[in-house]
Amino acid sequence: MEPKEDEISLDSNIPETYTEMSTPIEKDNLKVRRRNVIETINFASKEENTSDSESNVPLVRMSDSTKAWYDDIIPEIPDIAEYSLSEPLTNRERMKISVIRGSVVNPNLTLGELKLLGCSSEGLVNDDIRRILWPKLLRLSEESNFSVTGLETIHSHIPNEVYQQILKDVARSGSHISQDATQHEIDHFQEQLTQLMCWVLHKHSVLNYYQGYNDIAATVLLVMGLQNGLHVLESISLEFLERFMEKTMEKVNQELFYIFALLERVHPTLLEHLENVELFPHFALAEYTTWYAHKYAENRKLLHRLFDYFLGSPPLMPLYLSTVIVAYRATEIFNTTPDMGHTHKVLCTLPDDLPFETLLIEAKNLYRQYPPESISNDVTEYDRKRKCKEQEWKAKAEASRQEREKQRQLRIIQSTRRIPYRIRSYKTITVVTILALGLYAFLRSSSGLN
Amino acid sequence: MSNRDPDNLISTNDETFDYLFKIVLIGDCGTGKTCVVQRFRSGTFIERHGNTIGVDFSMKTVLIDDKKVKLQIWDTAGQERFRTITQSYYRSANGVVVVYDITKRSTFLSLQHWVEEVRRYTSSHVLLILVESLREVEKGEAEALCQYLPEVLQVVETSAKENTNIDSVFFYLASELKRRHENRQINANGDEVVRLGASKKLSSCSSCSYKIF
Repeated sequence: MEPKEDEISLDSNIPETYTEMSTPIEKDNLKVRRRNVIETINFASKEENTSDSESNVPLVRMSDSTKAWYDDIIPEIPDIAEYSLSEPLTNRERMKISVIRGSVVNPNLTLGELKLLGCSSEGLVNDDIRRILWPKLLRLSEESNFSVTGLETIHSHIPNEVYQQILKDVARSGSHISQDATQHEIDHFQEQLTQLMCWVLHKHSVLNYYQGYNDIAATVLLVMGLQNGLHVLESISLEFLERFMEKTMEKVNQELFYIFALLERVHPTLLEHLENVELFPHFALAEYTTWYAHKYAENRKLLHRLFDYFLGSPPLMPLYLSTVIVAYRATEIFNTTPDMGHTHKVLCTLPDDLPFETLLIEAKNLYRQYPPESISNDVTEYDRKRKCKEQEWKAKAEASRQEREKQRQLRIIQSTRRIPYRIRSYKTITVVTILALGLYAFLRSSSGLN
Repeated sequence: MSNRDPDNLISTNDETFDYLFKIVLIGDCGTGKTCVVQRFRSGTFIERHGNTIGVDFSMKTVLIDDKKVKLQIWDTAGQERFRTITQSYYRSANGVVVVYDITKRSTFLSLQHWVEEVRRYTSSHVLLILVESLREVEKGEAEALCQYLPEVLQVVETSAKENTNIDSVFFYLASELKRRHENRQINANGDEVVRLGASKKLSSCSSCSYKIF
């Protein structure tokens, strides 16, 4: 379990010279992340009229071999006795805290080793430690500690429909705060949560709000508090969530198929089962886009531990964890009524007793075994199949509607044809009558001759 | 590992049913779709529920004229950006419930848009019901709108909090779907014409005996 991928990805929307100035990094390790042009333009225009300093934004994802401590500051992790504990620590947690304390004092600790502290068993254990180390994991500079003012009116700077959406979702973020919070506490929490999100969205107008962002923001707020949370959420948004915050969710819709591409490798029979019930991997949407904050809002201990893990992992890691969880629950899934609805429901409902520490290790191993680049072709193929299916359904719906419409019109035409049809029958009667009369006359005249 | 599906735990012999219909709930954000489903499914009103991300599934079997009618209910997220995901779930829907909040005009103005969505992705057999998620407001306007939306079968005012008409919506939908399904079987040649817009008031539909299964 040592830190892997020595890649550095660089946000292409930042002028390259700017990046070079701020970080001395090996040029050959640069891996430029894909961005569309419109975003770049927006960002550039945004930069000019933003008064806030952009220097707090982590411009690059650093190599794991970079030193964890910068600005010559080694953070101090308080002793166990100083923690605000809601429940007593287990032995494993005590051990982990001493490991963290022991590692942190090393002035040469690398970023990879710091990430490993967050990923390995028990994570960063306690919110007091998280408050110190999350900003370090995100490489926030000390400047980000300066307090930001004007948060009360920040919402007036973002589009009203976005603000209204945020208000709705904040009002429904109740599961993040304790059941017995007073109305005052609830109001205060909701106000801060709104400010936190509005600040980030205002600063980066390229980021589009999505439902679920509130769950991540609430988690950040609970650990970091409002002032320290601002730059943490900003950094998480830029580094990890930006893919969910594009104009549409199309990219997410596609990326969810990583789960299928991975299942194809780790549990092909299960994948076959899921495909047979015509299931899409949408069950994992909330897990992926909220880092489980939507599902485990009330299980803070687990949730914060998962955040430790994801903060030290690449952005697609939640999909690997989802895959591992689905594979772990294979028996349960096979025992479920084999239809789309039931299977979707079971997969959406995560049990509280999943052995997460083991699953997290498995997810990490899976990532190492099949990194995203190695399976991205399959993902594209699954997504192409989905699009085909959707087109097919759309065409079917269209055909059925047209058929219906045609029948209705036919009925109208038939009813207007009534008179011509009658005329035709009159003709028949007339002709038959004339013929009969003619025959009768002929018979009469022929008998008259004799 | 045990089967954790809460629906399966409630009624173990759930596998048997006479009819199975799929119902999709759509409508703007915060109009109370999840509350409506929750109230119908479990009879409770949850103040502290979160927003729906993507789609949720739930199920309930109701008894109509001594027949077990199983309703599969898909509850969708309202935010525009999830449309690309929720669209997949309109497929083969038998009924669609469009929810709007009578106290928020914008949710009412979106109705046209939602109906368009239904037109685009569902077959023409689908039954459509408009649900006002909060009552105590005149509903003249909604009925006026329905003149322009011939697909809409019924407008029902509801309140998930006070449990007003929630069950009726689903019972009505279930009995209507059952009735049409039977008619379709009798007139296999498609003689039956679905007369959209020519529906009766919910209160006058007393011929069916409702019983919660």
